[in-house]
Amino acid sequence: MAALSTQQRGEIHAFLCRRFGYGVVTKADVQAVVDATDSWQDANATAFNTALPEPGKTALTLTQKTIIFCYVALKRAGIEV
Amino acid sequence: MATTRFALTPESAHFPSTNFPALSTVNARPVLAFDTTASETCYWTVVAPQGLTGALSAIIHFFGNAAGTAGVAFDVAVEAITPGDAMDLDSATSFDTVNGGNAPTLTTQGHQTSVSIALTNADSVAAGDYVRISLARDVADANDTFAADAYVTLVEIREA
Repeated sequence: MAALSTQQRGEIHAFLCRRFGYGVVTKADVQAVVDATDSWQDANATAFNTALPEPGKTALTLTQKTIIFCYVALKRAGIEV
Repeated sequence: MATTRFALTPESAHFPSTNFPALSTVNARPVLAFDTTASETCYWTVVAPQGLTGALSAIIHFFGNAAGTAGVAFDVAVEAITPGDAMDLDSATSFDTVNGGNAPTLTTQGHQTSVSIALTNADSVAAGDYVRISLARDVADANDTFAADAYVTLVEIREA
């Protein structure tokens, strides 16, 4: 799973700013956080997969494991899913 | 003495087919929600009032859809057409060069502020002209840093 393109990162930035709004930082600050988040995920994707137990690590698809990652992260942040 | 010539409300605005601010309400107050990354535009149509002779300015009342202070930049343009002008309304527009300005949102969400933009480029508007006024958030302006929607509640057109 490759890192997102600049265009895709920009689309995320636009969506987040419109949907949630971040008044305490600037648009550039939000974009930098989006970029860094994508870069971190790209750099740590293999480590995440390695940390998963079998048989799920092998049997689940990339999409399934990504959704699990996202749901766990949302729950940890107090966002009900 | 300055004179208020128009009070342009969100509900009296009209919109292009794409890239326009959402007409919404906040606490039952009509607002135009200008996005932070997509350049959006709306228009008002008025007649230039009799007696109009002085310089004009646009005072844009707005607040942010998030707590925190950062800049919001707006562009205001004027199109003035005198009856008899060789201007094909079917196929063309004749907006004068945009007039820009910016101001920061207030720290507390919901607190309203305003920015005054001198309409230096007013398309030589004269009394009796058919006039359109366009308003856009200049999201590409270096001073536009607010990372949320800007809610415009009112635009006053003031004659100096």
